Amino acid sequence: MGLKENLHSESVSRLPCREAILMPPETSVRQAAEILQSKKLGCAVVVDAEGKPIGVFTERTLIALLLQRPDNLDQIPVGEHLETEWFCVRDTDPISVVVDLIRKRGARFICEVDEAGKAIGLTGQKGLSEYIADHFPEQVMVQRVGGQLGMETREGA
Amino acid sequence: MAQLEHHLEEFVDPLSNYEPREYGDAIQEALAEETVAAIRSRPYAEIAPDNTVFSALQALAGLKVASLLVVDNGRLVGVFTERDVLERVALRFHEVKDRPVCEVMTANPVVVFESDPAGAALSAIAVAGFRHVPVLDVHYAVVGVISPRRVLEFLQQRLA
Repeated sequence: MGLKENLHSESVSRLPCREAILMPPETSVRQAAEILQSKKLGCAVVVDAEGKPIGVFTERTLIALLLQRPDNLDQIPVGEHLETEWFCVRDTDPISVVVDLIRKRGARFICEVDEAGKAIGLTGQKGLSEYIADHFPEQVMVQRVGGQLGMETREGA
Repeated sequence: MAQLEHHLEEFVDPLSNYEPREYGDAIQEALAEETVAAIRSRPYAEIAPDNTVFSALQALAGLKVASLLVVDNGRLVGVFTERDVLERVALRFHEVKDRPVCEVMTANPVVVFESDPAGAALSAIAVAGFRHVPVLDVHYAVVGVISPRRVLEFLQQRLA
């Protein structure tokens, strides 16, 4: 089937996803920054005692805090600075739900949860891009991506 | 003259049986046949390389953007993104906040040219793994920047 059909028939569990960084709300902003940096991921999922997401802390919020309160990042809990808008999808939802969240709501990170509501992964713009690229290997995987034009000078005499 | 007529009779256009490739999918066709120029790459934000890291952070937050193109005399010299803040600024903020942004930017970023196939944009994002890819024209002047959201917008218009 083509991409259009698959977006509706395949579930979110088929999207490439990253292991979610889970942390309790008491985690300090500095600790969160260290973890995000070491895992090379721009978003942590803040969870309650049962592992259910209560919000996300992102590198965007970190920038705001660096500008406003750079001196006490190790005393500010991430739970006080969660993103005002964040998104969760069930792993059984169709991928079209993710497309809509990205296109209409500007979602970058989307938390994937299981039937019990526990966070099981993180997907979003990158995961969806990889999913689409996998459908078109002849048009995407063969591209020469870099910083140079194909030929800078004319060949031959 | 007779010899020329003889040759003309034998001439067969080598492209007479050429048939352009047919695509089974509108997205496949768009990725192969359209160029990066068809993908929205503006607006974008830029900053000079000698601006401070602090002012770059202010620009990211104030403009509500995730990346700045670092441009020197019309030439792209780097990009400065939220990820650069996390990796090179956040944990040593006081040490670098007054330094020029060129010291913490990503230099020599992967770029696409507006004349590249649209597939190259998706490749830079999905395969090479860059979220903000500057777009240049054939003279290496900055045209804009593409993101996964903009590529998705381009593809969705073809799906409709």
